[in-house]
Amino acid sequence: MPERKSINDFAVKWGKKFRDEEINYIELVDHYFADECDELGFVMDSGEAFSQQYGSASYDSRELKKVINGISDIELLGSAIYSRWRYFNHWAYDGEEILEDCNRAWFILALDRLALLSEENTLRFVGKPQSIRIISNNISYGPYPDFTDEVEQHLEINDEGQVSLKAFDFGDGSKDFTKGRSIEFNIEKQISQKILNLVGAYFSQEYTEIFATDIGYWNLEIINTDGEVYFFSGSLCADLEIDGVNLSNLIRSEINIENLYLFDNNYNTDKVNKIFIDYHRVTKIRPQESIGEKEYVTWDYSEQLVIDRKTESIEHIQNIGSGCIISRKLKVQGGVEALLDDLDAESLFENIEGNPPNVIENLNETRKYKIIIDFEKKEQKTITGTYDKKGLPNDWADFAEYVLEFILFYGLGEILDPSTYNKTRRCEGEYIYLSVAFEDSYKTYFYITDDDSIEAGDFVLVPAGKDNHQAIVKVISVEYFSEEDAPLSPSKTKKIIRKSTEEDFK
Amino acid sequence: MDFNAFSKELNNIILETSTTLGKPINGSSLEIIDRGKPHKPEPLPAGKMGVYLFLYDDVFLKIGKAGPKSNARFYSQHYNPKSARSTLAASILSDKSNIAGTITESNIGDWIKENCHRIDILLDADVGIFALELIEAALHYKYEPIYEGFVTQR
Repeated sequence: MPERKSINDFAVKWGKKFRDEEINYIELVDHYFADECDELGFVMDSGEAFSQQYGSASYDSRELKKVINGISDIELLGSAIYSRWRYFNHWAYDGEEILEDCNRAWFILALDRLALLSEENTLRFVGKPQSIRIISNNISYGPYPDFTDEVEQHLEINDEGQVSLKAFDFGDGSKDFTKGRSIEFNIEKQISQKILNLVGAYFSQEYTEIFATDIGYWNLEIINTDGEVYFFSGSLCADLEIDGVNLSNLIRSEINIENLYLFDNNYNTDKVNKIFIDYHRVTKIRPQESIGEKEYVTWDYSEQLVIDRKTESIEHIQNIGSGCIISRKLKVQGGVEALLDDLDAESLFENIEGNPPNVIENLNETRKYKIIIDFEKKEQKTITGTYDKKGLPNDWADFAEYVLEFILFYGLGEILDPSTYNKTRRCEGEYIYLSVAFEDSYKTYFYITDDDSIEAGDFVLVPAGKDNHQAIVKVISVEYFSEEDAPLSPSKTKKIIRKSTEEDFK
Repeated sequence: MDFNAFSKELNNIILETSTTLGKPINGSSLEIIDRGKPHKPEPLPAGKMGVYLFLYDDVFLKIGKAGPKSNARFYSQHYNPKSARSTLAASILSDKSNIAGTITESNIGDWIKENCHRIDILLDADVGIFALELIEAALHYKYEPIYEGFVTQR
């Protein structure tokens, strides 16, 4: 289908012409109208498709007025307009009949509706949804589609429980797809309203368009009970979720058609919900002094790491020995979820190279692991092995580095941090002295500042050298001195320019 | 290929093209990251969108874009032939020229990481989709990646 804007331009332009009381009928029935309809892909079918759905509204303006707000199919309406025009261009006794009030009214109604349907609407959805229409097209450049591959689906659901699915096959790859399966049926009103309400609720929030290359697209049209139409679009990789409900999955399961492309091309990615890692090291230690009959003592050390979407937490437990258990729990709302989202559920820990058969076993020490992964869709997966490079999954190092970075970001807190408990509070009349180090130098220099937000570890911009060129330096410590206690007289100490920004580093 | 020079070339293409159109893309909102070969894919940082480039032996395999809410497309899908209808992994596996030798669905992801050079162009999301589309289109035009577009369209 051509861009909405082209259709909108067409509808607005011809709507004005049909409203023009002074217009010569020749201008309306001349071939230009047909040329534009052809270009927009509208089909001249003598109004057959339209009249099948809307009866005499295909030519009677009073009937059209009754149904116009329920019409949402741009192509169907465009083709109806083309076909109606063709009547006056070709079949009418006198083409001038097109100027009669009832005929003008028909075109104005139809063209105004076409303009409304094709209008770009970036607003959030407002109101109570009456119907939705989802067009999903999954043509992409990977495998070239076969003649019979279903490449486009049009799904409509309304609040009366009516469901319509029209599908199109790729055909010979020419402009038009071939008609594929067509299904119409009813579901319980309650179910259709649940679907509509959730779709409406999702798009009543701010919608950031989801786009990516070579993955297909979807267009969604939601009509509310006031007949207002809202349009949204995106690439066919959108996992749209509201209140924990995935919209594509909901629609598939509620209308009981599995192979629907909807918003995600039925490829909605699985998620990792929980990872449990158990690490176990057993070390035999030969004591320096004999302990009875035993030749060895055994140190049984274990660790567990649990990353859990539900509790939004990461828990790390070290069982160091009898009576010595260290545990640390991070509860990071949104953060743990994002960490798990960044893991690829399809391939996580999928491949393990394995140790060769001739690997030398250390009889005094074993290191083993067990990993249990809970997915959103797939069954739980358990893997076990020896805790070494070839015994662990190939992507273990990436995973471990990622989780470690996440945990270290939050540090060990401030209670035991010397930079916190050693910090003295500034008194009136005291100067803020920064001890700073230049890059590649261990020597430190004093600068003063008025900015009391600067902390050790920050970078600041300072004048340096005799020419006072600007340099970025690292703050090693922050101290307060009265004039008499200052390591350098405030009047002889250079002042920093300001705290560094990201721009300074660029 | 000299990838330092190549990164500069990418930067020039983006800045010159956008400047010619009268809307220069601000250098501070743009970051070109050479992930190298072998490479380790990184997720899209929050508030960023990106264009990715995959090369094998100086041949551009795939250049595509992903919006700020399409991290899976940017980060992982191209390494797994079953993760979407069209992926770099699926394209390589179905390529009759057999560029990757004896590879299978289970190791194609690792093969791509080991043998393909990846470059990511990150752009602040608030710069907007049109800027990202411009960059992608300019790079498609310039480098003609072999797995974008149907053969008959090239």
